[in-house]
Amino acid sequence: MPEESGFRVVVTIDELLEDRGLTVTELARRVGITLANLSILKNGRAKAIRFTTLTAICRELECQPGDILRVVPIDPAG
Amino acid sequence: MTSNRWRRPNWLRELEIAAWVVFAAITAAVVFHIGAAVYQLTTDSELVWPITVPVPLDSIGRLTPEPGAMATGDVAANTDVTVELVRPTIEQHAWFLAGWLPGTAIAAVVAFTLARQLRLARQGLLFSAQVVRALRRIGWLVLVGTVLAVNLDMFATGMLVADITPDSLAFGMVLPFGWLLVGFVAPAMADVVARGARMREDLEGVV
Repeated sequence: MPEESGFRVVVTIDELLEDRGLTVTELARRVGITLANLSILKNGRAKAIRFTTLTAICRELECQPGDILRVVPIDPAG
Repeated sequence: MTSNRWRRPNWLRELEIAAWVVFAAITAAVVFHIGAAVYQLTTDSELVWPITVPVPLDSIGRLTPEPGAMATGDVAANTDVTVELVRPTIEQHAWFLAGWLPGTAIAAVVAFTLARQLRLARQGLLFSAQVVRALRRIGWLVLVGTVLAVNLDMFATGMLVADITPDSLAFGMVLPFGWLLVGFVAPAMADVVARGARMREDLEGVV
């Protein structure tokens, strides 16, 4: 397991959800994951994402992975 | 296509039941023995299940003439004859229990621990820190406990022989290799389960 590097990946889908007129619940249903797991992804608590899940999200939101994944520094304050 | 004839879909449940049965049987045997000893001592009656002592054939002619002892078994050269103590003294009871109880207690603890971990496994919690700790505990208990129990059993048997004959048994250190193997295998399995627990922990955060 790689060491923590002081950076983390954040998933931002809120803008795309609004643009596509989708709710989080509807997106979870279309992607085939639970609402709880999609919330975990959105809130930055996921440790990893499967390619199949990423592909399905990008398919439904009509975007590329780089549109929803960003690397940001970890805030020391928490 | 492989045959499913020998497959037992509920084998974990069956194993758990077997472990509970073993634990219950051992506990019942301990309670019975202690109860029978107390009854025998307080009522001066004969033991329902006599204490058996292996006495070397050479010593059989020089048994202390206790009213409660009688010898049975095959008579052959270089063998032990089983002497049954039907009215043992408190001291003889104590030596018998000292030899028998520690090993029996270890077996009971192992059976109980295994039954509980098998229940966790059936609930899908096999790869957990609790199971890892339990397996390591079993390993230490068996490694250290059985060496002590086996040698205490030998010593206690020697004391019983010395009590009923003028002779005494030579005492030497014994290593119960079978149980030592179990004592090494259990921590190894704990390491495997620990790796599985770490993998499960990683997987839990995977979407």
